[in-house]
Amino acid sequence: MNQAMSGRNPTLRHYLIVIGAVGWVVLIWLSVERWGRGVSLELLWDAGFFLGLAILVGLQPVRMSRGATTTVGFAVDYASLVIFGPAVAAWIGVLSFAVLLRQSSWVKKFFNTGQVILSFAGAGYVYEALGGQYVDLTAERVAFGQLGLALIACGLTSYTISTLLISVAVSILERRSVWEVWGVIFRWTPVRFLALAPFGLLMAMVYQAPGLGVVAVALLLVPLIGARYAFHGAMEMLEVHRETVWALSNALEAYDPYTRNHSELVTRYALAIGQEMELTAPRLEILEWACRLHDIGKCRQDWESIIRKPGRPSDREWEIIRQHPIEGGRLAEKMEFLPHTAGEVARIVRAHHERLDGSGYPDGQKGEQISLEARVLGVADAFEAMTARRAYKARRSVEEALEELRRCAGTQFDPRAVEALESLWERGELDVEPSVEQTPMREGLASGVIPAKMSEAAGGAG
Amino acid sequence: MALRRACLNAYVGAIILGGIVGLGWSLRQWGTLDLGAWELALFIGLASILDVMVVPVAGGGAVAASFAVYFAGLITLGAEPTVWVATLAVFWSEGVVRRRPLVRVAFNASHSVLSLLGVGWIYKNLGGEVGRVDLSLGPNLLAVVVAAMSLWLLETAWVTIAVKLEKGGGLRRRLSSALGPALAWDGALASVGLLLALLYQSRWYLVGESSWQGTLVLGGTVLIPSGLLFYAYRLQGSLQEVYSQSLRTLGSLLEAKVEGGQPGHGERVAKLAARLAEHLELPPAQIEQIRYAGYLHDIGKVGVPSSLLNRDRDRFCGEPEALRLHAQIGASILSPVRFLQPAAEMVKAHHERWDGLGYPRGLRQRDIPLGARVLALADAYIGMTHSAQPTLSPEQAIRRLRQASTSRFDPVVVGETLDSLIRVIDHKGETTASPPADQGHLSRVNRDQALAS
Repeated sequence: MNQAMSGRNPTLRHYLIVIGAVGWVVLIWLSVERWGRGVSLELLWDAGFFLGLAILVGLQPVRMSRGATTTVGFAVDYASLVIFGPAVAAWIGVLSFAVLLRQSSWVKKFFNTGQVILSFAGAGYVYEALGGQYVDLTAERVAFGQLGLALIACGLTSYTISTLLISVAVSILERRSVWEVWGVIFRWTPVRFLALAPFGLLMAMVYQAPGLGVVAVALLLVPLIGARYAFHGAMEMLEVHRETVWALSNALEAYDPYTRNHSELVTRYALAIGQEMELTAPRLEILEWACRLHDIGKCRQDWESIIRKPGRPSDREWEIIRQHPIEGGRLAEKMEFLPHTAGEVARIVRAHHERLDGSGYPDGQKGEQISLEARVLGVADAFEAMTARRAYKARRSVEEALEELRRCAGTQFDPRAVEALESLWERGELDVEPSVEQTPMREGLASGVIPAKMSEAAGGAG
Repeated sequence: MALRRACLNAYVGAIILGGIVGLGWSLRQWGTLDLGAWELALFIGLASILDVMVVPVAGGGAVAASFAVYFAGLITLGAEPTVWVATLAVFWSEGVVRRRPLVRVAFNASHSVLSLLGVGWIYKNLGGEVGRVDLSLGPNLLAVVVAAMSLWLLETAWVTIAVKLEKGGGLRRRLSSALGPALAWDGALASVGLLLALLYQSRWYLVGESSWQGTLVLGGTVLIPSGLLFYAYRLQGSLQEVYSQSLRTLGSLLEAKVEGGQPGHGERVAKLAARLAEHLELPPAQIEQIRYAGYLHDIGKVGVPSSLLNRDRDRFCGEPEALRLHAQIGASILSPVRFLQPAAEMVKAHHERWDGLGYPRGLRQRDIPLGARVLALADAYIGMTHSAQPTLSPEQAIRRLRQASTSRFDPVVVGETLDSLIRVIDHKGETTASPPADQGHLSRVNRDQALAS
C-alpha cells in the first residue's frame, strides 16, 4: 500500500489503530495456542528461511498503474500459511514488514501488521474448517490433492481480507466508495491471484519432498523472480506508453489555436461527470483514453480550411467531417495496449458524435446503442466547445451552456450526464477553465512555450 | 550475398547431418539404458508443451521454455534418451502445431541434439552422475552448474550463428547481445529443470498418492513456473510492439499536420536509420531509440508557422530562424517522457553538422550523439530521394552523401554504412526511389538544398 496516508484524518487514524490492535490481539492468541503444540529448532530454521524469501521478494516491488505497487510475495505468504499454519505465517509476515516498511509511520506499520495477521488468521480458520492440514503440524505427508476446495477457499479468504482492509483505508482517505478504490488499486488482482496462488501451493508441495525441503522452494523462487522482472518491465512500458501518447497527442493540439487544450479540458469534464455518475475505475480509465484521443481523426492537412470556410460545407467536405470519428476510431485502435480494453476506446471515439435520437454520425446509433462513455464524452465535448474562449468566437457563460445542454438533453445528449454536470456546477466542484487564450505563434516560440505536461493532468484525474 | 547464402545453407546442412548422426549414435547406446516408457512419455509431453512457449531475444534468435526439460533430462535420464525427447518435442511443436518449414524444424531439432550430446559428455567428464544429482558442495554440484551454463551457451550459439549468416553483422556482437537476455530466461528455466530432476529422482511423487496425482504434481512443478515466466515475457514483448506502433501512428499524424511535409518521411527515415544502426552493430536498445527518433525527428515542425515551412528555399541562403527551432521544439515535446530521452537528444541534434556549422547548438564531431549522426545521414538520404521537389536517384544521392562526409556527416558513419545503404537499394527495394526525376530540374537542386531536408 503506497498511498500517502495522512495522520490528520481522525477517522482514518482510528480505523488504522483499531485494525492494528485487533490484529495483534489475534496474533498473541494464535501464538499462545501454537506454543502449546511445541516449537522445534528445525521449525525455526525453516521459518527463518521463508522469512528470508518474503523479505527478498518484498524488496522488489512492481510498480502498477497510478502509483500502486505490488509484489509477488503472495506466493510466499500462501506457501508459508499452508506449511506452518497461521501463527508462524503471521509472524513471518509481521517480521518481513518490520524490515520492509522501515520508513513509514508507526500507525501505518501497526495497521499493516494487523492487516497481515487478520488475513492469515481468517484464511487459516477457513482452511481448517474445510479439513485442511498444515505440513508442519502433521506427522505424515499432507495430500494436497484431496484438499482442493480448502486450498482455494483459504487463498481467496486471505487475499480478500487483506485487499479489503487496505481498500477501506484508502476509501476513507480519498472519500470514495470502497469498491471503486478496490477496482483501482487491485485491478490486476485476478491475474495476480491466479498466477501466484498455484505457485504458492507448489512451494508447499515440493517442500514436502524428502531430503529437499527448502532447497526445492528456493529453486522454485528463481523463475518467480524472473517473471517478476519481466512483469515489471511490462508495467513500465504501460506507463511509458501512456506518457508518450499524452505528450504527443497534446503536441498535436498545442500549436493549433483552434483546438488548443480542448482535449485536456474535455478529459477533465468527462472524468468529473463519470465520477459523479459513479463509473467504475476501469471504465473511467477507458473514458480518459477516449477523451484524450477523441479528436485525433481530425489530423489532416485540409481539416482547418474546411472548418473555417464560411457558409455551408459542400457534400464532399461534409463527408470529410463525418469521417473524423471513424478515422479517429481507427487510429485509437492502433494505440490501444491493454488486453482488457480491446477495441473499447476505439468504439467510444467512433461514437462520440452520435445523438440519442439517432440523428448523429457516423453510424446513426440511438439511445442505449451508444455506449455510456461515448454519451459522457459527447456532453463534455459540447460543453467545452461552448464555454471555450476562442479567437474566432465569443465565449458563452457556463449557465448559457448548461441551458443549451438541458434543452437538447434527451434528443442529442444523455440527460443523466447533463444532470451530473449541472449538479457538479451547482456544488461548485466543476473547475471551468477556459482554454488558454491564443498566444501569437511567434511569441510562443520565442518564449519556448511548449505543451504542458500531460502526465500531471492524468494523475490529477485519478 | 550469394556467398553468404551458400554459407548459411552449408551450415544448416552440416548441423542437420550432425543431428542425424547423433540420433543414430544415441540409438545404439539405447541397449545399455534402463528406461521405462512412462518416464519417456512424461518428458516428451512436458517438452512438447514447453517448446511452444517461445520468446524472442535480442540479436535475432528466440528461446523456448523446453530448455527446462532438456536440462532435467540431461542430468536424470542422460543425454542419449534426451536427444530423442528433444527431437520428438521439436517436431511436434514446430512441425505439427506451428507448421514451420521442414528444414527449419530439422535444424532446430538437430542443434538441440548436438548441444545435448556435447553437454552430456561435459557433464560426465566433470564427475556428474546421471540420475543421482547431488547438490551438496562437491564435484557433482560443479558438474550441474557447468552443464547448465554450457547448454545455455551452445543453444544460443547455434542459433546466433545461423542468424549472423542470414542477416550479416559481427558474430561477437550478436552473440553478446543475445546471451544476456537468454541467460535470464534459461537461468530461471534451468532452476525449474533442476527441481524436476530432483523430484523425479527422489521418486517422491510415487509415494503416498496415486501415481496420476504424482504425475500431475510433477507436471505442475514444471508447467506453472514456466507458464508464469512465459506469460510475463510475452506481455512485456507485446507491449513493446504496441508502443512502437503507437509512436509510428502519432509520428505520421504529426507529420500530416505539417503543411508541405512528405507523407511517410518519418517512417522511411526510421527504417533506414535503424538499418544503418544495425549495420554499425549498435546495442539493440540504442537501435530502438534511433528508430523512435526517426519516427519523430520532425515533429517539432508543428510548432513552426506553415508560411515559413513552405517558403521557397531558393530565396533563402540558409534556413529561416523559426524553422531552425523545430529540432529543439521536437525535443521539448518529448521531454515529459523520460523513457524517450535518448531519442529526444537525437531529435534535438539531428541538424548538427560534423564541422560544427549545424543547429541548434553548433556541436562538433563526437559531441553530437552517435544516434543523431546516423539519423542525419538517413534523413538526408530520404530527403534527397523522396521529396515533392525533384528527387535524386539513389546513386546520385549516395555520391552527394559521400561528398558531404566530414563537412555535414561523420566520415566514419558514412564510410561504414554506405555499403549497407547500397545493398538496401540493390536488393531489398525498401527505400527505392520514386520515379526517376526529370534531369532538367536536377540542375537546379544545389547541394545545400538537397541536404537541408
